[in-house]
Amino acid sequence: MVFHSFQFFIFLLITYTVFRLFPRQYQWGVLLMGSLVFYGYYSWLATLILLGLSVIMFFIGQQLEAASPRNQAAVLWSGIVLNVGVLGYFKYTNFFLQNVAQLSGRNFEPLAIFLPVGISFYVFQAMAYLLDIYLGKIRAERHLGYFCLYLAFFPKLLQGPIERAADLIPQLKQEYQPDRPRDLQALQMILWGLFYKLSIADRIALLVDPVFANLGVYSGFPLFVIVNLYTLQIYFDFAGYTHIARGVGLLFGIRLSENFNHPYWATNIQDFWRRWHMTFSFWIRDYLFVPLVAAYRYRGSWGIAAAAVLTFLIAGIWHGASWGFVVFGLIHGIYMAVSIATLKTRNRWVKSLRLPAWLVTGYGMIILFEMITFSFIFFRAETLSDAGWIIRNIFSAALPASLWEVVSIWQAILLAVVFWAIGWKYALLAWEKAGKLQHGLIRWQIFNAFVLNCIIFLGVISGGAYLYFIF
Amino acid sequence: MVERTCILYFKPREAGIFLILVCVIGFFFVVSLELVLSLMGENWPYQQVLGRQQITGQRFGPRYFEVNKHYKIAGAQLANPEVVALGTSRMLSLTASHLPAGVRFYNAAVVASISEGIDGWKEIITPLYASEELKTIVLGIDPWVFNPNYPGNRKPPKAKVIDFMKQTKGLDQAYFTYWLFKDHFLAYRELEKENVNFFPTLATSRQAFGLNALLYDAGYNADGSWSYPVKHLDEPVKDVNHWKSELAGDHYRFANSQDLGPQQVTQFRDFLSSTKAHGITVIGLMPPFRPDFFDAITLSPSQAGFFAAFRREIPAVMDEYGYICLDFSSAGDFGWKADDFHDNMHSKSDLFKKLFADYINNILLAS
Repeated sequence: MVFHSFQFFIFLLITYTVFRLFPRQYQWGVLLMGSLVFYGYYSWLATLILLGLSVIMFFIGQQLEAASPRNQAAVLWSGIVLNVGVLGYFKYTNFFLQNVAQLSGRNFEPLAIFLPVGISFYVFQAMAYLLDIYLGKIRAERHLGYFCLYLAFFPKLLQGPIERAADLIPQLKQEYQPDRPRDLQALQMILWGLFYKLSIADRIALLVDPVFANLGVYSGFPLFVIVNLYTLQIYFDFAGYTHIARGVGLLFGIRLSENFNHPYWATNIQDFWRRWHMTFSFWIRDYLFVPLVAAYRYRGSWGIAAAAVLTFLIAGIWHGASWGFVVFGLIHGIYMAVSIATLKTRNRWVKSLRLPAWLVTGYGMIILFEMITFSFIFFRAETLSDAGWIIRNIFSAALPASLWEVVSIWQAILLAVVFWAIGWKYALLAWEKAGKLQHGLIRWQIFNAFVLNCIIFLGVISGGAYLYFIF
Repeated sequence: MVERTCILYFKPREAGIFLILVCVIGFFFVVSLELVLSLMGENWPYQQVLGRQQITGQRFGPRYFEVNKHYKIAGAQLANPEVVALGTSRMLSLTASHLPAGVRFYNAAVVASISEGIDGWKEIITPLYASEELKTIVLGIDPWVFNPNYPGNRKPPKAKVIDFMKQTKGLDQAYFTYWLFKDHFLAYRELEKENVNFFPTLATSRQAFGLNALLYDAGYNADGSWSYPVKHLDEPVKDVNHWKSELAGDHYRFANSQDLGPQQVTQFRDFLSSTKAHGITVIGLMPPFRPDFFDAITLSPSQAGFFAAFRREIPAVMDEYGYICLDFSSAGDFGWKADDFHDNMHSKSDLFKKLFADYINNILLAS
């Protein structure tokens, strides 16, 4: 039941109607039931795992709060180990055994372990909850139902945003108040999300997927264009999902966190991670990077660099059980370590050149985009050898192929139309922010009518799942 | 921030404006897409395409619209033939050049999935009775025409509703409009996914109608026959056991039965009575199967009986009306090889040439 499916909108309509019909003190129950049904659509076993983990974490949270300072760490670690154990078992057992078998030269038959969809997201939320109690940021939740809903709330269950208990639980407890403008804003978010996903990400996928499936026949400029397009695809896919998730949450009066803030406008890697998958990057910053920096604080800049590499290595592995994700994390760790170590020097050097600001910013954005694109090669390629093949051939013209063989003129025109709409949106937002948007309502109406038509006429309705779905 | 939201804006005036905007912008999208389809020659009316085909002989191979039997109905009327071919895609490689010189011929065979079986034949032939030019029908007969499970022979509730709408005055226009919208919308869906570089083809002077014809030289000829793409790769010969397992899962073509569908046999008799009444000669022709597939049908434990009944009963029924029916099902018996076929069921044009030269043309000339 992906967000852009007909079934999901039927499910949403039913859930919303029942939610509105129920007395306010029981509306949380409707949301919880709806969330379990939504998750049960994928797998009832996964729903039981989610419920089981929720109940255990609820009681560990209470124990953690009640424990004496001497025992608190032990209770916390029991919770962390349980979460990591669950995630590790379901997600990484086969990967681990496969590599052990390869090293020992034995044959490997994958174990029949099923992967509960969205487990990486709700396990991270459960860990954040325990850590926040331990750090004294929040009190343990006393209501099992609200806690289960905190982990299971369906708009963010499968792909985030990774919500903190301090942000989400109070909203879940808040009495729902009908608010027409808020509902309209929610619908607009859903509309924009569908546009991002169906009209842009899935349109790019039409071009990217065949090339990655037949890497051996492409090289040079066409390959360069395709890997760059993938960088755009993954953003619009994930940002589209997040828009819809936030819009759906808002229909129930819940404001889920922002996950993206124009990440490709960043000019350095630190800035990028402040804008990309923000709830995840803030999670790894708060619960991994900061403690690691604190642990390595006596080792100076080498300590910070080591903390960065280690943090991003874990972040890479979090994405999935393959060496491609490990390398992806490692690359970002190195980017981050080098960036932190050289930031001051670079800034001094750039200042000394006295270049115009727009040139420095533009140059930074392009270079960073290509750095991100390089890392996404490992993210997208099926195997490390595929990624190696791309890197070896991307700047060679060994296989003569015209760009039009991978991106036809027709597809280029359609992409130009949807990207023009994106530019239009940014322009409207910028004018609005600057207070220069006259006749704002009609302009936004025209824009939204255009976007709706882009979904109807240029949306690729193939039922393709979201890219981050597998994580 | 909130002000910009406009969908379902509850003030009726704003909602109305939004709806108008959606329609106006949507209209521009439709016009643009239709323009591209028009440049390809995809969405031209059948009458216009047929008219141009008669003059220039250009090929018609649409990529986003399935050629409907109405194309063949109109084509047959325009050609006003002396000899017409009916049947499924298995007859489509038959061209006018295979028949004796000077014979006015039209191939009105329709792809099986849209042929609607014997009812479909009647729909094509009935308008031709009026001209009294039609002398002979070359009837390509496939076993599945007599299989009650065949989709063209089944009438699920949806098909019954459609039939009712088509036959009811007032509703027929509503159905046509719905069908038109649906057909075009599905075409837009396919067009927007297209990543073949067709623009250079559009820039050249029009050589054909439809993208398949423009790009691959594949499509319907002016005589109603169909040409395979220039770079078509023939399907390789497969093991008999492969076909047997495939047949075991397919009860739409060859029924799991020893008998033909009685209702279909009755319809067939009606069809023959009608042609007889109009003084038209019908030459029955069971088109050949590739030898590996033919062996599989005859060895299939569940479906061989049906196939045998088809080969036995249909010529007998035709004989009752004084018509002949020639059974070419077993290609091997006529010395035809796997190379004479595009795939397990579809013979190449050259095979039809040999078949007509050796077995049919004499009958045609005599009639």
